[in-house]
This record gives sequence, C-alpha cells and structure tokens, in this order.
Amino acid sequence: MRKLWIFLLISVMILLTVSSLATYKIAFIPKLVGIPYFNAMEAGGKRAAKDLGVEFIYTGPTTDSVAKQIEIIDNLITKGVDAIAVAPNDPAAITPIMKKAKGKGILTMTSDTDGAQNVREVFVNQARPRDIGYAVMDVVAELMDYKGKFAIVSGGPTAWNLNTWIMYLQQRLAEYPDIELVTIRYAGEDVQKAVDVGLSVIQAFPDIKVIVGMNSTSAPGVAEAVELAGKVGQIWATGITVPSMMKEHMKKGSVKKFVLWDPENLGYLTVWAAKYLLDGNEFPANKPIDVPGISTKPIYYPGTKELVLGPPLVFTPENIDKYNF
Amino acid sequence: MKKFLNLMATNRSFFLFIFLIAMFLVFSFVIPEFSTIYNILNMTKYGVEIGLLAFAETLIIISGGGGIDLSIGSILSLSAMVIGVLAGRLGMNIVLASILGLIAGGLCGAVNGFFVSFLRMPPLIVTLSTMYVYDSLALLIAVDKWGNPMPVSNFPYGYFFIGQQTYFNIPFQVIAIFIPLALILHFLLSKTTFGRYLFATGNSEVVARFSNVPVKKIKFSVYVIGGFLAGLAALIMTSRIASARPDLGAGLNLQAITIAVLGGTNIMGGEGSILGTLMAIVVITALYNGLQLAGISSIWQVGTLGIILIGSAIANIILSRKYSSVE
Repeated sequence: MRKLWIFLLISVMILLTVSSLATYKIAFIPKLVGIPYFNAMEAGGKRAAKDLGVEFIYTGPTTDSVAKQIEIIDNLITKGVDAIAVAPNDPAAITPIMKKAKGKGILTMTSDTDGAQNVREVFVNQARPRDIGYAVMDVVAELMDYKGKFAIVSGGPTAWNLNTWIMYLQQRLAEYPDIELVTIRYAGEDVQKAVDVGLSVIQAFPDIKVIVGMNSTSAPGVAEAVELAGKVGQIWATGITVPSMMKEHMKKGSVKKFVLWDPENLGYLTVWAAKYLLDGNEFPANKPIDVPGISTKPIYYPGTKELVLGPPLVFTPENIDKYNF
Repeated sequence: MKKFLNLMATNRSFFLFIFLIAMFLVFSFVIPEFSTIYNILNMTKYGVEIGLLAFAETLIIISGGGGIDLSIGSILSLSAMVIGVLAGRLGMNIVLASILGLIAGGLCGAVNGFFVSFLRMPPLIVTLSTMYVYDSLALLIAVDKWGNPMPVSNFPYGYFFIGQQTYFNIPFQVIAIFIPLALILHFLLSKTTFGRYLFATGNSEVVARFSNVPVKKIKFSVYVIGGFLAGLAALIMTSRIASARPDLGAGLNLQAITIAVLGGTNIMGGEGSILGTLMAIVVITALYNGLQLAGISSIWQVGTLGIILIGSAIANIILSRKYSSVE
C-alpha cells in the first residue's frame, strides 16, 4: 500500500515537471497595449501559440512608458518565462533588463522595433528598408502606368527611417526612365499639416499623376488633399500607412494602392521564431524559410541577426477589408 | 477585538499594515513566485522613485493652505534631462552633472515655493502652470542637433551602480538612499522644531504666525525639499534605466499625490506621517507586482490605485463611525 502511494506521488511529480517543461512560455511586450496595430500582433502571436503548442503571454504598458515596460519585463523574468520578445520604447533603456533576462537563461528577442542590439538573440523585422522603398516606387510606377511625374510628402526632414526609405525609392526610380520625381516636401507627424502641404504641392505641380505620403500621417493627409483639390481620378494618393486610416479614402476614390506590412503575420513569426530557437535550432542563413501559417517566406540575415518577415504588403480595395488595424 | 478595530480606524499606518498582510496572503496563495525572497527584494526598487515623490507630496500637503505639487513628476523629467544633457551630450563629469541635476530639481521647487509662499498664490494654480513649463523645458533641452527631442543614453558605465547594483538581491538605491532618507524625513517631521512648525503651519496659518512660526520660510522650504527629492528620484531612475528621457515623469504627478493621501496625509494640511506614506508605497508596489505576476492586463492596474484609495477612505469612515473613541 505504501509503495503504491510513493509510486503515485512520484508519477504526479514527474507529470507536473513534464507538463511544465513541455510548453514554452513565450512573452511579447508591445510598446503599449490597446492599439489596433499591436492587437493585430497579439492575434498573430495567439494563433502561432495554438498552432505550435506553446503558451503565449501578451502584456505591456498602457502608455508608451519606458519605465513601466522595463518593470513588466522584470516581472516576466521573476515568473520564469522561456523567451521574451519586446518592441522597445527606448532601444538603449531596454539593454540592462535584457541583459538580466539573458543572464537568467531566457531567450531575448526584439520584434517590430530593434533595441539592445548587443544582447538580443534575434530581431524579428517586418521589412527591410530597401524592400519598403522599392515596393513604394513600384506601386507609384504602376499607378501612373510607368510614365509621368510624382511628388513625395514625408514626415520630419531628419527622420532616419523615412529618409532611408526615400533613398531606396530613388534608387529604384532609376529603373523607370519615363518617371520623374518633382519634389520632396515635409509635413511632420501631423495629418492636417500633410493636407496643407499636399494641397500646395498639387497647386505647384498640377501635372503630377501620383502623390506619396511617406509616413502614417502623411499618406491619409495627401489623400485628403487630392479630394479637397477635386483631383480624384487625375492624381492618385499612396504611401506607407495603416489600412484603418486609408479605408475611407479608398471609398472616395483617391487611393487605389498603398504599402505596409502585416502585423498579424509579424506576431505569428515572433512566436514561431522563439519556439524555433528554444528547440535548439539555428536559422538557415540568407535564404527563404518555410514558416507554415504565414503568407511570406522570411529570410534570416546572420550579419545583423535579423529575421525579416518579407516584402511589404500592398493594400488594395480587394484585400483591405481583411485587415482591422 | 474592539481595541483592534479602534486602532484600525484611528491609525492609518496600522490600517495599511493589516491591508498589506491580507493582500500578501492572498497573493502568496494564488501566485507561487510572489512570496519568494528574490521577488520581494527585487520589487522594492520599483517603489523608490515614486516613493520619493510621495514623500515630497507628504511634506508639501502637510504645509496646508491647499498645499500640493502637481509639477513633481515634471521636475523629475527636467532634472533627468539636465543630467542627461550635461553628462551625455556635453561630456561633463557625471558626478558634477548629477549634482547640477539635483540643484535643478531644488530650483524648480524653489520657483514653486516662491510663488506659493511669498506671492501667496494658490499652490494648485502655481504648480499646474509650472507642470507645463517644466515638461516643456525638459523637451526643449532634449532637442538634439537635428531638431528632435531625443533621449540621452550614453552615460559612463560607473553611473549605473546607483540604480542597477544589488547586494544579495537588495537594490543599492533601496538600502543606501531610500531607507536612510525615509528615516531622516521621519525624524525631521516627528522630532525637530522644523517638524513642529510645519504641522503648526498646516493646522492654522494664522495661529502659527501669532506663535512666531516663520510660516513663509517653512512653506518655501517644503517645496524646495520636494524639488530636491524629485531630482534625486530622477537621478536614480536615469541610472536604473540607463536613459534620460523628457517623458520619464509622465503620469507620476497624480500618482505621488494619491499615495500620500492613501498614507493618511490630510489633503487640508496639518496631518500626515512618513510612516503612513511609506506603508502606502509598500502596499502599492506589492499590489502592482502581484497584479503583473498574476498576468492581469495593465489596463486593469491603472484603475486599482483609485479603487484602493476610495475603498480605504470608505472603510475608514465606516470604522471610525462605529469604533473610534476619538472625536
């Protein structure tokens, strides 16, 4: 009888250990919770967790607070998760806590935004700047049937990421001999300002066929400018922004195509990558990786330890209703 | 039993202590990691910065006449940026930069104190205005050579011991700064002439003035001390997160006031204690830690501070009506 009890006790203990070992706990900490973009990443993470049989923890601050984000990561370390992926609010401030996590044997990653570059194991990147610049230029060319003039309205004149995208856009432009870029103007992170700048561009260059808004506020801004100037059908607005800000303009006919990536797939890839590394695998370098469950084939670049989701996504009236961020 | 409830009703620190024990028991049962020594020691560092701000508010609110400092978090932001810009961008010696950061905090407090005590302006109006001014100044000095307000992160390595060093899991800033300071402030309030003058001023400014209490100086000095405490919090925070940002104090203004009030500081002045505020800090720090470990969404955490405050106020009213032999 006593042996039976001991046997039962031991089996329960083994069962508990096994069950706690069997599922990885993978945490993703967004910049803040409660905005459509990160909700989409959460949805992707949840879907991946279900497909891969891991536990997905999604937690973050309610504002883009650096201090709170660090505190949340610290408590995840206390809880003993297996992997921590973060979209840092401050790339430098995240470093000490990521070092601590790594010291405790936790897999540390960044996703959506990079940070703690010397510590993190991998950065799950949505798209490379070159791909974004090229994708925007290709959309512009297609919209004007590969011939004509276009203008750009960007955010801040010193925004590093926007300028990099513009640089690659111009690199791609060289391959379209019949297309001319007439001007680049700046409107900051402000939709209304982008409307004003867009209107003045249309007035100064009435013969342009396309106007590009390079950031999330400029793209809907220039679309509204096209509508206000009564140029719907003559000038197409496009750019890089979230679908929720462009839906209305698509209905009004000023926008046909624009560019971003799919945050749902980015969330999925983040959890997939964590599980893949926790299983002891190494990413195959510089070639497309088959990730069942997402629509792209990500590529790993070992030089910068970046796992890139893939080429950006082009939104059209046909696919825009599938996305709610 | 009656004696126990009586103590609960009349002594806020005791009330919070009982509340803390109850909360501790509940969390320990539900969350296995909560009552580990590592977690308890590790969580203390998250109470330090907000705790210093709450101490500042305690002194300021006790001084009475509507005494309050809505700019306390903004002073933190500004002091942090002073340290960051001087050390990180201009390459000044880090010790000197830290001292100047503390002085900047004290100066901000002095400006508040000047308007409140010498120009007799309402503290609410003064500090509401300076809140915007200090926030704006923090952004202004954060502007880099390309015209954008940016955080500063290139501190010398030696700076990080203040906020990141631990001894047997005890954070340096807790053992070397927070606890000694809490003791000093407790002593200041309960054992010194300054403390007696402060409570006298808070209870009735008119009576205090007739009793030869230097009311203006007392009021001025609590704002200056408050500013210094905010500067110290800025120093600890920038060292802990290795980054000076113009938004570090965002959201801390009202949190600090809430904790002071939860700790039994009478918003009308003349009443309050460092011990009470300390208990409130411990309660709030442990609460946030428990909620996060339990995996409860931070959307819920925002409201809990308010619920605890109103809940404790209600409990206090009920208890004191039923059991208080005082009054």
